[in-house]
Amino acid sequence: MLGMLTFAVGGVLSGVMIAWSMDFKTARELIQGGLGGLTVGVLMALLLPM
Amino acid sequence: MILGYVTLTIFLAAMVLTLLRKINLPVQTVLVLVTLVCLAIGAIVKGFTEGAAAILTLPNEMMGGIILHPVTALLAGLFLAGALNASGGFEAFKVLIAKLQKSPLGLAGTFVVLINFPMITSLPCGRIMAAALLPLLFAFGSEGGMNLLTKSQLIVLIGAFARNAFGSCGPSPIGGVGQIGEGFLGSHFPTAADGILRAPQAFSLMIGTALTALFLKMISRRLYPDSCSLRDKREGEVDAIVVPQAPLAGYASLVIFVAALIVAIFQPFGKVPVQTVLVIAAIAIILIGRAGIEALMAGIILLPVSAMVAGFMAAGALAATNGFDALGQVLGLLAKVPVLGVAGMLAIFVQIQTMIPLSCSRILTAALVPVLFLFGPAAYGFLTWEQLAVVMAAYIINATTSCGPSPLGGGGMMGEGQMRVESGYIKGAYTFTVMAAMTPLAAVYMKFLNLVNFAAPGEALTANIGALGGFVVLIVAINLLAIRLMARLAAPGDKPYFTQVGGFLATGMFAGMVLALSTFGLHVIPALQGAFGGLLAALWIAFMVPKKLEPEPAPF
Repeated sequence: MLGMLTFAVGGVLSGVMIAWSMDFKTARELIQGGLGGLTVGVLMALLLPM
Repeated sequence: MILGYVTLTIFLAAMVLTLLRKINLPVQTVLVLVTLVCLAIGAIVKGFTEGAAAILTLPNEMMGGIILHPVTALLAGLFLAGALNASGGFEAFKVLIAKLQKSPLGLAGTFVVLINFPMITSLPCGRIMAAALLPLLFAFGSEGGMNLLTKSQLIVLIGAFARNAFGSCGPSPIGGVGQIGEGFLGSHFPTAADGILRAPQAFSLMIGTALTALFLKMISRRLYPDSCSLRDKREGEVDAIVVPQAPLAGYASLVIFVAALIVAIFQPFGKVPVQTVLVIAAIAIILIGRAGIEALMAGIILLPVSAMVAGFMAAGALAATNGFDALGQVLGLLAKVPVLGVAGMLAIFVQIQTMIPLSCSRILTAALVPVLFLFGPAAYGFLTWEQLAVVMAAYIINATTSCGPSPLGGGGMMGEGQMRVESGYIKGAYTFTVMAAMTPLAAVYMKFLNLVNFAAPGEALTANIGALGGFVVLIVAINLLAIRLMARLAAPGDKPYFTQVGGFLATGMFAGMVLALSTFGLHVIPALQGAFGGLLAALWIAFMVPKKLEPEPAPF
């Protein structure tokens, strides 16, 4: 569970940074980026041995 | 032992000269030549000192260094990916991505998923996913037809995707680079082969990809303002949305592919060799998709396979001629230098593949992971098993991402080609984020969380989520600050170039210190030694970033 949590938080952080780097700067777009990162983090955590 | 020093010198000199393009041959060819030269010298020396029988055992000792499991797993993985491609699986994936854009994720969230997709699929070579999807990413720009993204956005999208792709072979459970390290760690951690190195690599790759995107946006574009020939978005024109289509067999093969990955990773049917799972899945995809043999063979990329075999051969020749013993002694001597110590020596060692980036990380990984293993309780005793796992995590993510910035036909050149930039454009972004962020992130993740899941029998380890969170926040904050400061200084020319080297040095020192703290705990001397080792590694890495970009012919 801790592994899933770290990947979820890391994913959100990563997603927001990527969205900002791609010039998506409105609050809505940054939230979408964070959601994308959350999806990546959770999906990745499910595929890893934890 | 003199023989070992001679063969080690030949090996290192050949690698550095190849990197500097003083030897214009494919790196695999160089490695095979190095192997033959080392064996010939070894035969002469051993013939005189130990007799004819010692000469006859040399080839056996060299071949003993070739580990077949990762080679066959890689081939099986490439075979499966080829089958997927041939039956329209990648086309089906493009359709799914198009649908994702209409979900709550929107365009921004979809791009985040797309950039991280190579890591999620974790194929045995990043080139597979890059070859399949880079043209799709290019299509989002003006020249590609969709006219959705500006030039700046497209550079970040392609560069970040390529970063993710050319690190995704590390955590791959199907012949990934990390499996080489996991094999050695299995000597102590009984479940290491389940993937002890996967989570630290994936976590640091996920964060490192985002930092790479930031570096590309804020620094690379200022350093090389005229090096990209992409056309900018045409304002005012109606976007041409191309709706991708895929055959039904493509969707079916995608489902089989995902199912095969799940079976290979979680092994719900008990212990089955990963190669068996992959080959069965590939055959099923071939039957459903009616893929032709030519399309299938096109999916098999020989570069990573030949690189790994050549690396194993060179490693075998070095082992047979005492080259690794010599390297161990040299590193042991470095560890005795007061300002370096073991911590400083390790801070340099974990960065070595970013310092010498070759076309495939497997070449040096196959040669150097056995040396790292010797630092542990099995030989020199510099490290306990837990400390060895922490250093191995840092080493492997650094190694596995090293094909990205390689000028010797490295994977990153595929991204540069698609970005329409000169070779070397991405090098600063790729080397900086690996050195300053990904390497220490993998170490702290292994130390404070992952080791708990793989503890040896009788060991009671506890996770420290507070320490992990604190270190992650600190590493990301230091990187953001350094990128912000370097972005202010970044501009074409010599003076800004030299001032931004300071950013590399400061973060390199910090990365070395974090590695020492996570390996040896809160002790001042190792932390300072780690920082000094990190500084030396960063000095080398910083000056390898090109000051200006010029067109140059590919070496092969």
